[in-house]
Parts: sequence; structure tokens; C-alpha cells
Amino acid sequence: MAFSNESFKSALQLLEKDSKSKGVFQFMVAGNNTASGWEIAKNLSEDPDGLSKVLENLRSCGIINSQGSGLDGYYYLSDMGFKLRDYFITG
Amino acid sequence: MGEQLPAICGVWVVAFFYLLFDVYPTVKSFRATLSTFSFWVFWIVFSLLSTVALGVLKKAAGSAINGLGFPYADVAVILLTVLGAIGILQSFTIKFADYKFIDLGKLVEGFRGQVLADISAVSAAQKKTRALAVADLLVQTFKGRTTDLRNEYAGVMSYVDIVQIGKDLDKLKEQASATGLSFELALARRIAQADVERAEQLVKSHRTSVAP
Repeated sequence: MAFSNESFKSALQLLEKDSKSKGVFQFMVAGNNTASGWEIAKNLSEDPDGLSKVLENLRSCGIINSQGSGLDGYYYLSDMGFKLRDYFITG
Repeated sequence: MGEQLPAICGVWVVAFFYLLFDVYPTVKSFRATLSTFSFWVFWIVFSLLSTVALGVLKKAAGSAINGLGFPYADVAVILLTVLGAIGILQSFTIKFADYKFIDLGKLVEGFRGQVLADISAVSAAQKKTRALAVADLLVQTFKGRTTDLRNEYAGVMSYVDIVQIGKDLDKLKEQASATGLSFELALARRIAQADVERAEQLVKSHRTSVAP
């Protein structure tokens, strides 16, 4: 495992406390775990500037990774993201 | 060894399809899965362990299985081998005084998570490449019709009000001219990034309408 239990717990806390972060995470999980920033903005009807911050926050927590940055980037779940996905699915 | 080759090949084939269909519901892309290096490493490791399990099973119970006279005994052995290897890999644990010395299940889950993340990275790269290709086609399709392209952008971005769309378009135009990019290309890329299916539909419908 490339991440610690502490970082998993803090990522979990972020998703449980921040509804926007959880919304982005759930959108990605419902798709094929990848999405462009603009695709997320369109589907979640999010303000572009606010969404960029949410994506950056998710990335710095290690939940997602990206190719590129901002809304022009393409985002995908990291190994921790998949672990969190399993957590929310199986409890 | 030679006479065991068909059974070994069978184990590797069954292991391959098991892993492929195991990850598919999560990653939803065979193309990305097959283009991911760590998936192939995962398959090789899993197949090697299954081959060892096959050897053990054949040695321990080979004559007994053949003695049953079951017509598909070899196929049954292959399936049992792979299922046995999956069972061992997912649950093998050695615990002593409340401390898990060996937890193969956790190790395999960690590796599987990394494989899924790698497949998703490949999938994201393929998605990006597809959007760029569709954007190029969109520019060709809407050549000399920038207003139509702007209208399509407004349609794709209809979740925001029209005033905001106007501001976004002005900003995009400024960014494009500052970087020396064509505004039409920047617009087409934004449409393809936001909704690649719609972008493909626009290209397709235009081609259908101009076809003789």
C-alpha cells in the first residue's frame, strides 16, 4: 500500500465533511473513475473557480491524481481513491 | 513437463480472463486494461502462483481425479486450481499473539488497488487523446462558422446562465490570443473536454447532413 492509515483517515474525513468533495468523488466513481475537469463542472453544475479548488484539494489529499491541472486536467482515482471507493461500497 | 503444457496454458488463460473480468466492472475499459503494464505483471504473478498450485494438485490428487473417469477432468482441475489460488491469495493469513505476520490478502488488495489506479491513469490519457482528436474534427467541421461553434458551446454549457457563458467565451478568446492558439480550436477543445459524446455527435451529424 502506497499510503498510510493516517492519510486514509484524513481523506475519509474530507469526503465525509465536505459535500462538494464527496460529490466530485461520487461522480468519478459512478463513471469509469476518470473525468476531465470541465466534464465534472458540466455534470455537477459547479462554478469553475470553486471546482478547481475542490479538485486541487482532492489531489493534495491523494484521493485523485491528474494529468494536467485546473479544469483542463484529466482526473482519475488513485490507489487510495479505490480503497475509499471500496470503503463506501462495502462499508 | 511436455504433457503438462496444455494444463499450464489452460491455467494461464483462465487466470487471464478471471483478472480481466474482475477489474472490468470497476474500470469499464478493456482497452485501458490491456494497455496497462501492471495488469500484465499482476497476471504473470497470479498465473505463476496458479501453476505452482496446479503442480501441487496434480501431485496430490491427480491419479484420484483421473480415476473418477470424469470426461472433463482436466478442465475441472484447471478451474479448481485457479479458484484455489484465488482463495489462498485473498485469505491467507498467519496470526500469532494477535499480530498478523503474513497477510497475503492485504498485500494482494494493495497490489490490485495500484493496478486499478494504473488502468485509470491509462484510461484518462486515452480519454484526453480522444477529446483532442474530436476537437480537431470539430474545428474542420465548423470551419468558417465560429458563431455556430459558439452556439454549440452555449448548448453544452447550458448549466450556467447566458451572461456567464459570454464572459467565459471572452476569457477563452483572450487566453487563446495570449498563447497564440486559434480561438476556434480552443473552443472545440473546451466542448470536447466537457462533453465528448456531444462533440462526436456534432461531427457525425454534420457529416451526415453534407453527404450526397
